[in-house]
Amino acid sequence: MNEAGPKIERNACLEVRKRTKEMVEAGARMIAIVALEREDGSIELIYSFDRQPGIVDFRFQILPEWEVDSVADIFTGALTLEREVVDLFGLKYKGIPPGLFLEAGKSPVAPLRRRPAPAKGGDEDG
Amino acid sequence: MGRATTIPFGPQHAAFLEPLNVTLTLEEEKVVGAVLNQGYNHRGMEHALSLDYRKSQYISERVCGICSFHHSTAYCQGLESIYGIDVPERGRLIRTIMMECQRLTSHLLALGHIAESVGYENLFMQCFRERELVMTLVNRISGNRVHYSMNVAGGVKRDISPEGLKDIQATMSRLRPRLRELHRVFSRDRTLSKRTKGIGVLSNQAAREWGNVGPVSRASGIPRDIRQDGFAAYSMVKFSPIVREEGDCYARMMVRMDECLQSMDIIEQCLPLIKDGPVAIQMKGHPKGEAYSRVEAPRGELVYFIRANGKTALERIKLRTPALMNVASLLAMLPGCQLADVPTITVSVDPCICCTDR
Amino acid sequence: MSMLTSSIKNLFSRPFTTRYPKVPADLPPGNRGRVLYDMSRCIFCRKCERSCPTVAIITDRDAKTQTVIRHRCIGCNTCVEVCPTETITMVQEYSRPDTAPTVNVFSLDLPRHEYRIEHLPRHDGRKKD
Repeated sequence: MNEAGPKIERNACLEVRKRTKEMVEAGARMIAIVALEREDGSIELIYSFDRQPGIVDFRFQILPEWEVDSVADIFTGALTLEREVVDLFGLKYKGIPPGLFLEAGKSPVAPLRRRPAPAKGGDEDG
Repeated sequence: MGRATTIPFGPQHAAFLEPLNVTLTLEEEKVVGAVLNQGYNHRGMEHALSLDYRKSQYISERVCGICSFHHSTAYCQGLESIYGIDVPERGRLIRTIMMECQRLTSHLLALGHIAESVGYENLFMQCFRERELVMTLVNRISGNRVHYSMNVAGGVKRDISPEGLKDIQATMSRLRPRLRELHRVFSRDRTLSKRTKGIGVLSNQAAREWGNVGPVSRASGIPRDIRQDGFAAYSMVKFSPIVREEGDCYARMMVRMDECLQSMDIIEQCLPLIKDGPVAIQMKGHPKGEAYSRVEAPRGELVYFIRANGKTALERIKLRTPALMNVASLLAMLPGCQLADVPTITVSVDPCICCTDR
Repeated sequence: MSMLTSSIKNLFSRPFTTRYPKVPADLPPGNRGRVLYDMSRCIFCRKCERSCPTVAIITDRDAKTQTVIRHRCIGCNTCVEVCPTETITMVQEYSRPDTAPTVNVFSLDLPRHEYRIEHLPRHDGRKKD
């Protein structure tokens, strides 16, 4: 895999629908949407599909403020996966409400994102 | 039609073992809409797992109690493929045997749970009695009933003695007639089939759209079983996925029952294949790289995505548990059914909320 | 109806379960119950402390004690495997229930496998609220 990761591109964020459609029409089943925060604070999204005989994925990098297109109308099962990313990473998906796992106002916001610098002191409690 | 009524189903409900809330919209007795609320059990496992890769196999076992060995196998497999090593054959066979034992316990629990949800207490007890045979067997082999703690990255850390292998064979011979009897009851019983046949139908098309996995998808006619990919030692044994076409609760129940018998076949095929040799190999250095790892857990395909960057903390570990996909597809099954059938339908997808919420 | 034969059979057979607190639970020989230290062998190398996945072991080199926080121990057998001097053994019986979290302190002045029980405050490991 490419170590450097994809470039941050606005277009990639909009292409997600097209590429998912291609995959689903080729008979692939969506397995997971993996989000991860990179060193520079941008978010890498990996859409992985089960397309026999193995796993194929496409990945792109976005800034956390950008809104990503939802693919839930192409592949219904993606709804849960997207809501999970919305909750745990605080990303915005078009038309996808938060609140799958976390309750607004009571839970920590985007718990899997890196905390800003002062958190190093040790308020990270379990 | 009458006025629509909204009732909450769960999070504390007699049919559920774990907290899940389904908000049902009813017209008289008929369900017209459903909304799922989950997250009562969210523990931030993905963060906890990424703290120290050397100790995470014990946390990954504790994501879920009824597929703990599958979770740790998926985790260890991921690390092994990052290191680029192959587990010795004996280690892989032991993993396969333990995974199938756990599938037996998990499916028998699910079957008993379905029987209980239709009000068949007697059959529920029967299932759990046969399950106890497997539970005590794994206790003798691994030293614990639920969390085997046998997996380490690189293989397994506890070998099965020759007496242990004989013990497994003997238990399987004892279990087989009992499961045959259970199979007869589940397939023939009139009460059960009246409560499950044609209930909660998930069409093949819908199962594909919702991305269902495991027994739920196989009951809807999707012949996909990750074990066919041949992870662990599954490439060394012969089996074919059990598929049914109906897609109703009955089909989901019978797929699980047939898989129980199949699990015993796989275990018995594995036993003569075990040869002397090492069970694990050591790995050096910190992992660097990324890997997908998939196993077929009792509820379906379990995916781990691991990215490591050469430190003790992993950069990202992502779990996609089977129950997450299957529980979501309840929204496709519930509308149109009777209120009295809701427990049976929800239980028939085998919702493991520990897995779903993590 | 298909359950009738098994139901009748069950009616005349003995219960499958055991009366656990009255009779001992049938634990197999290899059961991972809890760990015990043989302090005369311990060289205080801290390998067990470092390898413990749940941070249940505290090694005190000055006081020559090993402390096991009982409710944290998951019985994973890791400390037994890493110990270079076979100080630690896994026994099959589980630890006894208690009303407060306990720690077991193994020290040199106690006989082999014996320990002193100390109670922790009830809220140990939890936020006080």
